[in-house]
Amino acid sequence: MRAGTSFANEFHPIKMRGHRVRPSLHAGFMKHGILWMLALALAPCLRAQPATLRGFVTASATGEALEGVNVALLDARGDIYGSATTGDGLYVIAGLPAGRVVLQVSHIGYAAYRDTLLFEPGQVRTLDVALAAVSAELQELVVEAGRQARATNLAAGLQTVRPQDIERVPGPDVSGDLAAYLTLLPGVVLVGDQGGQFYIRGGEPTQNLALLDGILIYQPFHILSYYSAFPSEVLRSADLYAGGFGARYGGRISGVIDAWSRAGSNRDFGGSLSASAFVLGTQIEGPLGPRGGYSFLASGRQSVLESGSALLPGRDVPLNFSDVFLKLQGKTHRHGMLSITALHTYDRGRIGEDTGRGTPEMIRWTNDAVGARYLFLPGSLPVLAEFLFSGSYYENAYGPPGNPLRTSSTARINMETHVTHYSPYADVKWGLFARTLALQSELGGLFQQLTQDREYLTEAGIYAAPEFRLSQRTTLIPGLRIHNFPSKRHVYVEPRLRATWGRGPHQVNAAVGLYHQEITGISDRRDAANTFTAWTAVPEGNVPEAFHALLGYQRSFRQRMDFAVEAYYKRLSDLFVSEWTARPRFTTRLQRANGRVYGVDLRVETDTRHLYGYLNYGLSWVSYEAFQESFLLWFGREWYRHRAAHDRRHQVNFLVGTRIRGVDLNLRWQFGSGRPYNRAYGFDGFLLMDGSADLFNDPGEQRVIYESPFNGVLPAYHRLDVSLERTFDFASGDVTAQLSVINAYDRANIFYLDIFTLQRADQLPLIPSLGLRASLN
Amino acid sequence: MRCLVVIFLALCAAGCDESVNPVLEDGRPFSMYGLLNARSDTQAVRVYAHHQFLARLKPDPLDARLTVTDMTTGEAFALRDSVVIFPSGAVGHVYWNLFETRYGHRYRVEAVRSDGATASAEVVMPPLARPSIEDPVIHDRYVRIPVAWTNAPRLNNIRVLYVTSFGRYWYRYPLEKSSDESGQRVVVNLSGDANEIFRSVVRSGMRVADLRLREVEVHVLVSSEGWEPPGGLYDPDLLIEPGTFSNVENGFGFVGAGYRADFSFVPTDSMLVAAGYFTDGT
Repeated sequence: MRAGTSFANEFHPIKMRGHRVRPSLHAGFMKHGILWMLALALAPCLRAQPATLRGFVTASATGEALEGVNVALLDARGDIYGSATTGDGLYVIAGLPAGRVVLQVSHIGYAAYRDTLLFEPGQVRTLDVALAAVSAELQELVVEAGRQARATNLAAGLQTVRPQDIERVPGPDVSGDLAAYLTLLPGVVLVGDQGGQFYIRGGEPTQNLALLDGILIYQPFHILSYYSAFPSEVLRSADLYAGGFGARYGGRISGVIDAWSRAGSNRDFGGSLSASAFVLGTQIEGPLGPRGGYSFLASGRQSVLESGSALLPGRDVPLNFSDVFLKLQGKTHRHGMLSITALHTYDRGRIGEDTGRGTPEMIRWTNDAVGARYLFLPGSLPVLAEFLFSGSYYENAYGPPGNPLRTSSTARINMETHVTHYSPYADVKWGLFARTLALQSELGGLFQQLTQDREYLTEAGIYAAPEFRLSQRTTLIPGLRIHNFPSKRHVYVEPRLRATWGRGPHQVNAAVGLYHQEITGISDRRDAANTFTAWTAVPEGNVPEAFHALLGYQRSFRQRMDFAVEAYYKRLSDLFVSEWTARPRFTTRLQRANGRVYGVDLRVETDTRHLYGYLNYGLSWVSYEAFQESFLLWFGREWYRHRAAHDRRHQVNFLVGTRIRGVDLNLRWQFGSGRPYNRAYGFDGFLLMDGSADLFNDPGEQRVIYESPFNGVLPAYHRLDVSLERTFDFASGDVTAQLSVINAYDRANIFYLDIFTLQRADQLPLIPSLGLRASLN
Repeated sequence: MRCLVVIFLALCAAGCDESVNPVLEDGRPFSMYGLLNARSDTQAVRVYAHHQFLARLKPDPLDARLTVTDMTTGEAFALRDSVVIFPSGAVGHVYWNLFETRYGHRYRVEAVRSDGATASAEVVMPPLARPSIEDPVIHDRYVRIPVAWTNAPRLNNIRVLYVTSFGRYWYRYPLEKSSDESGQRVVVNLSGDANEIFRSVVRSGMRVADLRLREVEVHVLVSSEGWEPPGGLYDPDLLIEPGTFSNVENGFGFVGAGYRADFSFVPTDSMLVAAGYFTDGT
């Protein structure tokens, strides 16, 4: 996403540099700030006199929506009005004067479209454009010339990731996956390569909102953490908010992964088959119906690592996952577009090492999600309405296969509407939502205060987030989100603010916001090998709350190098953590804790014709302040501040890619300083000496003699991944071969340490993999 | 550039070590739990060796020599290991010997490993305390009977037994702060406990009018100075934290000294009537 924008999924009119432009809002705003705000907020309610042009831009060959297409209009006075298309290919340009204008629609790799249009005052006109791709040779030249840095384009916690960004990251599979890219980001901590537990800037995995086409996915990552429910083959883009997200999003207190799938081709059938040492995959797409008005896209993946672990002699890898994705999309009529998305994921496995004690305990989870999204452009109003109806179901279980000790499931039906009113200086976005949830758990005493096993909840709310364009590259997005749970009589008011200021090569971004999470996922973080999560309404007292503040700066150096730095702070309140106890037991009481997260990310990226390079460094502190009555006696105060288990202080990622004689070489090195853990002096026994203890008959209980909470540090993590990839083109498709090596120098990176048994579980060792993908066009 | 190289080298140096040693060495060899009893001919101390990992212990001999030394007389007693296998399969090492301890004497309990590492505790046997009833407080439905143990530094494990015509009713009493310097006191709540006994009798389908209180027994452990849990409550969730309630040097656990000093009395008819009991005369 370029400077001056904030939502990849929303459009942003711009005026072209070097042309005469009308007076911007800036001067007036400075003079009569509040009056302007009010006037602009009310503007959408009135019938605007200026004209509006809008429509969808697609690729003529496939019918695929094109994102980021420049749509520019030149009026008779020489003023230029412009917009870039959203992920749906939608553009809207409001505030046009009456009269003749020249339209130009241009996109890298496509022939520009030009037309002359005549507008009447107040006219709202819809014009869909299909762009034709230029020849392959020319396209390559154009794309090379127009390549833009992405990884440093960080706007107050927001980074937009596209499939081509993901493909640069060496992975075990010939097809990329969003999960692999996430591990490249500073501030994203992956505890191990198993379990699918991603921590974003201090936030727990269950504190992040994961959406696919607007549908909630409770556990979006697979048990093998290289994979998620978002393979790059079906991904259009993903907006990753590491914090400071706007009023459209809520119900989580840390971050947002807002992934959008692409639509299938509505012109021709196509597909691919892929195979690697980790996964078998297939993908198919094509038109639906005789006139090609609709399209479908389907994909499926099945892991083979469990059966093919001959790659890892002497090591059992009992991990199994699969996913199935289906999307139908089409235009219902000239002003509307309907898409239906369905996803099923399945994961099962034993994380970490086999203890050899009894029946191995397995974790298993499934996601089922389905949703319908309808985009509607009313005929005579400069308004975009988006309706979403979705259902999400998630269940997970832990214990011996077929006889789980603990189960938890959650189902959610969601209805939401998002409306955008377009005007020359501001887009007023607002929305409504209503949800009902069913939560069910059988915890086997894991969390001692959680006894409720079934609960039904309803949530409803509203938000507004007007986006003011104060100047060409200065935007201000105040927001307010109000939501409530009627049955619990909880009402949350959450103010938000996002701002961008840009001038020349410089850009400054900032965001602040308040967030609450009524429905929370609770895990026992003392056991890294057990990712079992109980989704529940907050059991008692205050709900978890977070305040985010972010400030970032980025600049470009001669189009060849980009630099970005961002500082962030999160204040977390009323979290739930496992109690501190010397009992080596596998159930726990939950204790209140507050958290503090702060840090800074530095990113440098270069992208020339021959070389791509990306280096980033993340420095962060994540601490919890736990409250436990006994702390007063043990530590002299009622609270104890300690590092969070996922507090990785330093992170370095280095990615370099080049093409040599048609072979893409990508190399990625990552480093993470050691995470804290509970260090112990040993184990003894405990007898309660209350005067009644019977030394001969009372067995007592075993006890851990801890040093102090999270005072030890595990060894640092680092790993080198390399991939070589070449694509061979044929008349009816292409074949891509990839040779990759994960953990190339076979570093024994620790996953977790069971201090009760001193058993150490390492992450995956060196794994070579050959992948093949055959695509038919 | 030089700075980047330095940072890179520092990261490499920090990242080279793959090993991790989660168990620290603090030199503490043992945890001990024991009671030296002046009214018993057997003294016993439970000893736990500090292990590096959590595993079911085997019934092997413990590498520990345990002695109890009378610091007042210089007399030393060696205790021998007795391996106890509990029904759960857990293994305990109880060191014991036949000898008597004396009121008012200071004792040192010492567990020594073969390499010389030693955990020890010192404790003073409380002097002989004699119980007696003090003036009761009697109002209608309010009867409190104080029983005092003079010279007792502490009382623990306080229980009151009501022997009635319908059976025996036990009540555990909370620890009370030292009443005064002369000794310790337990205030028997005759009327309050009577209400609970009456409810129990009614629940059993019997008539309160037929109930007769025969005797009240007060059971206490006269305990050494310092045998007092932090916070005043024997809460295992609280006291399990190592070092929270410990008098063992270079180790953990608690070794106390004391003796049982039970006292019984028969309440007067006026006390019984005021507490709500029926008597043979009513």
